[in-house]
Formats: sequence, C-alpha cells, structure tokens
Amino acid sequence: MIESDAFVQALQDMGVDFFTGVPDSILGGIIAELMVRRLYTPAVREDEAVGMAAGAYMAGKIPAVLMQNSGLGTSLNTLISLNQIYRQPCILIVSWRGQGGKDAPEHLVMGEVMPQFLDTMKIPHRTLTEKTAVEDFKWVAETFMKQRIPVALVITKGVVKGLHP
Amino acid sequence: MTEQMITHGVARCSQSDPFSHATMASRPAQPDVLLRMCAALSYNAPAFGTNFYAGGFFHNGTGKRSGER
Repeated sequence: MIESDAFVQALQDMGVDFFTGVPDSILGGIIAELMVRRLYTPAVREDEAVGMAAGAYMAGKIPAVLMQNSGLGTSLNTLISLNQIYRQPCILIVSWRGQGGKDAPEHLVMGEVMPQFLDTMKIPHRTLTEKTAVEDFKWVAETFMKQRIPVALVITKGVVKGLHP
Repeated sequence: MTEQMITHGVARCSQSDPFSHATMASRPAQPDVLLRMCAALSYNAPAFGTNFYAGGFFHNGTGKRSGER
C-alpha cells in the first residue's frame, strides 16, 4: 500500500502545486495529507474544481483535481467544452468506486463503465498500482506535458492508504 | 485564447444582450464553473485575473457590455 504522504510527495515532485477537488473515502488519506501541507482548496462540485484548476493553470500552476468517479459525470461538460477545446490540462485523481460491482448501489453503473467513459471523453487514463507507481506517475507527467489536456490517474481501493484501515 | 474563454463565460451570464459579440460564442462551460476559473486565476495571478473579473463577474453589476473590460 502506498502511503498518502508518499503519494502527495510524488505529485509535488512532478511539479503539481495546486490541488482541489471533492472528498471521497478512497482519497481521504491523500486529502488529509494535502490539508496538513496547506495545499488543498476544497470545492463543492467536481466541475467547479475543474474550473478552478483551469484558472490556476492559466496563472502558471500545475493543477490536480481529486474526485470519485461519479464526479466525472458531473464534470463532463466542463472537461469537454473547457479543458479539451482550450487545452487546459489538469491531473484528475479519480477514485474507482464500484469497481468489480462491490460498492454502494449508486456506484455500480459508473464503476462498470468508467474506463469506456474516459475513453469516450478522450481523457488518457491509467490505473495506479503499487508495483508500477513510478511508471504510472511518469506516464501522467509525460502525458500532461505532451497533450495538454486532462489526464486521469485512477485510484482503486486499498492502493493508497486511507484515513481508516 | 484566454479572451475567448472568458467571452464564453460572459455569453452565458448575459444572454439578454443579443448585440454583444459574446453571445456569438459557441457552447460554453457553465457560468459557475467559469467564475471559479476566474477566482482561481485572480487569486494565483492577481494582475492578470483582475481583468477577467471585470469582464465577466461584474458584468451585470457594472452595466458593462459583454466583452468590455
């Protein structure tokens, strides 16, 4: 399991210096660490977080947006009508709720279709694993720099240490 | 590019102003999203962001036409 502080440090080492998003239990440890480091600006909706990230990017920041995968649905219009067409990149840290059909009912459909959903939105994505973490972060950084569009790093339950065991 | 983006935001905030060039902009992001974008820009780069606020957020309050700064 990846420690939350190591995860945050890896993002900071990549140059990420603006963090916003909407909480999720899988991301709880990461958000707590970001708050300790005074790096996190909370949002009330995922699309507004994406909007803030776009503004921060224009101001010279490298932004990351944390959300559970249901937030991709909330952010759909923003991601394709703001970020995609104007090349406003951000790193989407997306928790994969409903993966494998084991979660609360409201997560099951998005949990099943998320990879195809990201493909449809033309958002490059990769699922983080402990074994491939170094390559995963490298891929995120390279894709962000090359394509200048939102890039998703998907986090499954138990890969990054949360607030609760 | 940035000018066109905020024009999109203004377009959504001022659809009652049919003669502004902003209303000719194509499908924008929602205005609340654009306002958050402006806020983040303004906070992180104050000199740059001020113009965005003047052009977008305060449009109705100041009586300025869309696109004016």
